[in-house]
Amino acid sequence: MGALVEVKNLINRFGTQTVHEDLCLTLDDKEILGLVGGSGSGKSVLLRSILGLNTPKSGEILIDGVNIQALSVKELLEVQKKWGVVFQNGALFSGLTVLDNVALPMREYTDLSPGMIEELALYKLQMVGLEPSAADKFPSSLSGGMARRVSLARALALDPKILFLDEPTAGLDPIAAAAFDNLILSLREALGLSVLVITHDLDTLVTICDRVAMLVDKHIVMGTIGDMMASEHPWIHEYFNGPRMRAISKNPHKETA
Amino acid sequence: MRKRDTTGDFITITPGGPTKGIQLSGSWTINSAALIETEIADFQKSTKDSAISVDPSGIRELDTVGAWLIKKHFGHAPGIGPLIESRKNLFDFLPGKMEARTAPSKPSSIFHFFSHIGKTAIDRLNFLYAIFVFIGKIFSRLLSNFLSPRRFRFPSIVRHIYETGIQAVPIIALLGILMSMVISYQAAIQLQKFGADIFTIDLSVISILREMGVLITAIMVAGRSGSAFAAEIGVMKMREEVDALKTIGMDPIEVLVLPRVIALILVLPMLTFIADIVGLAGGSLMSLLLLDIPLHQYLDRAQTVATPTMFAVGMIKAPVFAFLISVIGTYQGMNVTGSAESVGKLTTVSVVQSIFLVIMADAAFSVIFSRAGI
Repeated sequence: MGALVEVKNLINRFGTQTVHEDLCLTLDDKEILGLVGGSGSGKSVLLRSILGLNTPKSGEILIDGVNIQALSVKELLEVQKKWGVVFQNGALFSGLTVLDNVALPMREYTDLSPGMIEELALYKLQMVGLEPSAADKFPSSLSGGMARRVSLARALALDPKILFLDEPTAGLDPIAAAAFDNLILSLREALGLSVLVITHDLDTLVTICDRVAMLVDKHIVMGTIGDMMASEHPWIHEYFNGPRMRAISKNPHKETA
Repeated sequence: MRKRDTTGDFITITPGGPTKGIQLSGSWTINSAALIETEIADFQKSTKDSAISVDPSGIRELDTVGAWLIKKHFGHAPGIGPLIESRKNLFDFLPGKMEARTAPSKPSSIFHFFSHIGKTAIDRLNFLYAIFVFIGKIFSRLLSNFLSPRRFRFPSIVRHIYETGIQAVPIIALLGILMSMVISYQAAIQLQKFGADIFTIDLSVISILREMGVLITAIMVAGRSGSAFAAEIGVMKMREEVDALKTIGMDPIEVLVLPRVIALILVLPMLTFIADIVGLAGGSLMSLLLLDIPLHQYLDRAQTVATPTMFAVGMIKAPVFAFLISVIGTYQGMNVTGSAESVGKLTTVSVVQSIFLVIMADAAFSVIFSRAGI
């Protein structure tokens, strides 16, 4: 069994500015991979390329062994059902209630009865730790943490194999962020998910990620946290040996990676 | 993918075994959940025996939907234990029991009917109150800006003059010429019957200068710019840009609303003038084509018909219409709440309300002018 997501020799260029040069990345089965990099280093462009929202200059993107660029709309849909995406601010549909947001993919792509879809949507909401009373709210009245959870429930609606998270803990308080991290971990255990998580949160990186993919100088450097901390590259060295990282490493109970 | 598995059903009743039981097989995932759902329903209809033993060893695939179905329907059946044990992670993760959602209680329809009428009436009154408060704020800002004229946002006013005025010239001109052609054409057909061809000119000149020029321009501007005001300010409101302005100590009325109102009040008379001129040109073209009246004769006739008062009657309405359109557009924009839907809704409302108010005001003007004998 190969990698679930494989990016081969990706090149992205906007005008004269090269964002990615011969970039390669792999996400293995049941792995949580943290994608990090400085602001503006092209993490979001990379995610958008993997999701097919951005057409790269050249390179291949294989999802579960299938090159998504060569697919018809119908074939692409089958691939799209294999992944769930949680966007940075949730990207919930503001005109739909929380329940309808989660139910939408199921209504669209399954033949389930309306009653069952509603029950399943409620159940997914409970799975991500939301009260049923939140089901009838509209996204504009949710807190950031709740919106993120609803978005996660929507991403999980069709039981995907791969989960993409774009800065899931940004803007959350430490307790909510830690709870979200734990949720991701237990989801991986329960559902056998593979997770690609873009994050600036060093806690998330240390707590849940099996490996780290660092976007630096238009390339990806992959390895465990230990590898990264030992890296000679000045930028990586600074990232993983900065004051914030040292503060985290001092707390041995968090050292699970 | 959603086709029925050829190998068999998801639930098989064990035929004539030592104990009556069922076997679960196939892939219990979201893709086959609809079929499983009907099979479970069929099965539950056929038997009332709840303690039936279940053999889940044939299940090939299981996801949260399948697990949920099993837990819901066979959770306590003998024989299910090994499955739950082998997929402990998955089953442990499922919420223990479904918490019931308290559906909002629906009042009776007669109550609903009257409460709806009441609420709508209150909403309308509130709207009326709020719009007058809004207009009051605009005027108080305007006055305080006149006391210190440097606080007028000239770059912003110029931008809105460009967007609502200069860019609207081609469409307004086209509309003006088309409108006068329509009027002349209809008038010519009717008046020719009486041999009163020449009065076609009277009719088109009067209707363009007094009514149609300004009305068509105002309706076009309401659709073009009133909606843009509502949407621009609405999106700024949604993205908390308006709140950001307030926290910097800048007044959204002064920064966002006033430039738009001022720009539109300056622009609409000019656009009306263009519509008038182009409309008269269209009228002359039509009288040449339909009635064989040469240009100099048209001009003679038009000059006797069109008095300065008539021109003024049309033009005086333009700033009033502009005020109505811009106030409604900006007010609805400021009323946007969180969702993208509300931007769309209030943009629509702003166009409908401003066109409605423009026509209302036009009717009011007609009454006033006729009473005044103008």
